Amino acid sequence: MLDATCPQEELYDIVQTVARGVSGRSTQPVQNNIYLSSQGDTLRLVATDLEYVSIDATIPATVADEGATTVPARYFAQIAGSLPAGEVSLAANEADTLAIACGSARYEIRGVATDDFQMLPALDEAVEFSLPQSELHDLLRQTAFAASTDETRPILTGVLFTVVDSKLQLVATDTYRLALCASKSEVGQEQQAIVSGRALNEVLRMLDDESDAPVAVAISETLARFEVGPITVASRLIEGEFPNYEKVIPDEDNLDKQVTVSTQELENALGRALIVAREDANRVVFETIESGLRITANSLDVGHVQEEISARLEGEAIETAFNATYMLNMLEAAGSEEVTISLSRPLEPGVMRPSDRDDYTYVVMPMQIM
Amino acid sequence: MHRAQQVLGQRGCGRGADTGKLVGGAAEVERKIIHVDMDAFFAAIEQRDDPSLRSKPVVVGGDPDSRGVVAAASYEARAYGIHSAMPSSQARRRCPQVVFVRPNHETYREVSTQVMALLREYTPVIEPLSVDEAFLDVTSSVGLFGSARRIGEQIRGRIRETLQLTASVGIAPNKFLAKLASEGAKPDGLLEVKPEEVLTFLAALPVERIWGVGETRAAKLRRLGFTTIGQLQQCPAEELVAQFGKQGEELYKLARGFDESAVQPGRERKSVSHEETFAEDTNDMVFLGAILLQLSEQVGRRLRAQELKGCTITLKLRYADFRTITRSKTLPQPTDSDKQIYESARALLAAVGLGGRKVRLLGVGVSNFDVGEQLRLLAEDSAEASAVERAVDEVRERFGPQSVRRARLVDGGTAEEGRRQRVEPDSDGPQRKAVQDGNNQ
Repeated sequence: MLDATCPQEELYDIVQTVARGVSGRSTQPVQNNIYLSSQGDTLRLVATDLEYVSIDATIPATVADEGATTVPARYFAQIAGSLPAGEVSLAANEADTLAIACGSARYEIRGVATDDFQMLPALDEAVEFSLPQSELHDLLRQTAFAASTDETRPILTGVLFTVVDSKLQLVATDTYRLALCASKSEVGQEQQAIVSGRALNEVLRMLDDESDAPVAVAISETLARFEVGPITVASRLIEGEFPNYEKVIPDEDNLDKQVTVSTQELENALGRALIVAREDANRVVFETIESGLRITANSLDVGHVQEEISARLEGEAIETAFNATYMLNMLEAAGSEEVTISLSRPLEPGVMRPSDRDDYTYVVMPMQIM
Repeated sequence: MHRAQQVLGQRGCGRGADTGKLVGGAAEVERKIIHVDMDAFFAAIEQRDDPSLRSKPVVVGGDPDSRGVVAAASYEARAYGIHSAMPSSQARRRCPQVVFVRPNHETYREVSTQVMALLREYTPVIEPLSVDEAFLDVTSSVGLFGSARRIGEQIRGRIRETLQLTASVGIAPNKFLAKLASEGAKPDGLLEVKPEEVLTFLAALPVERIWGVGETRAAKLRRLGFTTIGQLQQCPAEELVAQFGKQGEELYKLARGFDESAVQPGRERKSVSHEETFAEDTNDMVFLGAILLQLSEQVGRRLRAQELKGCTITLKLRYADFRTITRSKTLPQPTDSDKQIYESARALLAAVGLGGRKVRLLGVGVSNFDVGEQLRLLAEDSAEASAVERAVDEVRERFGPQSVRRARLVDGGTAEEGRRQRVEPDSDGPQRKAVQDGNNQ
């Protein structure tokens, strides 16, 4: 029978993290539970929707008896968060009722036997490599947001992992914009996989953007796995063929107009324009002027906004319109002082890059100017 | 018991008109109406813009290798029996040298704007029907330009010179006849039907050419012995009313070329919607789902015909106790896709949750058109779906609304049709739509 004690704070942290593996939409009720087991000197927690994401974590615990049970994620997370600071004792009985005691509080939560709880299979014949946390953080931060959330085209809800010139390259697109980012570290072997954007966003939450501690990545034919310290996130790969993204990246030779601006200034200006643009499908009109860039947004219902920011320009003048949020997504992730927006013609795609790097490319389609 | 049916569409004929006013097929005040219809519009633009395509059989549409369909065919391609909505693979079999071009709706819209601007120079009373056709009421412009025929000739000449495209023009005392005349003039021609020629002009045409006569009604007319409009002209009004009810009156008028509907300029559409009142209140979700799909298709079809895309999908629902609610959903991108409209309407209906309550009316609408489109980097599946939808539109245009149906509606239709049959044993079929143009000025 499971019988273990651990500090409330650590339990709460880990339950919060693991509970995100529950989708709440699972057709099998037991998959809305967290699997809990005591073994050796650890407590292990697992939650998975069996499809997009599986989160598996361990914390140190004082184990009086080894055993396992499952408890509803929702209640377990609420309880773990509500308990006073101190040691929490967890003990399951034969009927899979979990007694939770801490300070003066005593819960008895109805759980479900582990028999029907399913986990993702182990990875076999996986390609493995590791990257510093900060590097994987930046790769994911700069690409995962561009994946689609439209489940009717599953392939686009994933991020393409490929190895190009020994570097890991991530690509995501929802057909309106495309983000492509390559690692600095070399990861070696040729491979290709489409990993669920949802799972990657979970991985991203766990990564420390300042830590050089390694993240172990493993990719098999059917699964991807990321080990961040004591937490392992796994996901089924998305099957199918990723769109031919190379053909949508405009040829550099055609991008004869370049606008280089302060990332922060453009971010601020777009944030202000968005108050009006939100009522007009987020459309913001960009117009190059002598002093830089003029940004305007119009809404029949709200009104008008105009702002001019300084920019370095190359090439002829141009006027085009973009969805402000698509640009903001990139600016927030760019991590550089300045960005360069390269354009060709008003209804052709624009390319955004950090001014000081060429390993991050963001292609965004314009909107029609009305 | 009859299904409530109201027709407020722009094609509704002058209903209140007094039959006694009929004089030789025209109204007392003789109007001059022009119908301009561009020839093989999409294909002609492609041929114009790419000289290598000229005088070749060209098909605008989907890939013949991946189940694409023909969206438009040049006249050279039509000579091989290629027509819209035909699978592209079949088009290639009929004519192996046919050139396939992906549709470029951006360009078509642009050219359409140029055409309409040109037409507007002849009269402000212009009503665009779709991207490539429009009605003009030139009654008051005749003094300025000489005659309706001269206006028609000038329009054709200027379209040829400035846009390097050809248009066919029909001139007649009303919209119904003008449209028939332009069809008769195709391709690259002009046909004027003078008031005194109306009856003869119509007499030779098959009954299907009358507005509102679809497949089912045409079949009924043929059963009654009317194959041509001429035969119909011999039939007294009372007999048609006895056979077709209110619509018999319209048949009688249209067979004589009588149509009072006005050319409606400046119809800035705020929404496109369709709704249907059921003969019996129901909470049968399968039935309601099938109705939603059909209403979505009708709305999608009208949107595509007018090159409109809207962001907001609205579901209208009237309960058995006449309480009416509407629920809306705004999509991130404007749409004219049947599928997207249906899926949103379906989700709205699911969110309402009938809880056993019965419904007497369902409606689906799309609005919020004033939004520029976010362009895509990658051609999406929906581009293909859209080509299919457009092709289906064309088939329906030619062969009637029931000529192409979703398997879902054929299947689900059994229950639906059964319900219909029960309440309306003498139903003459497909005109089940309660059309409502939500055009606020």
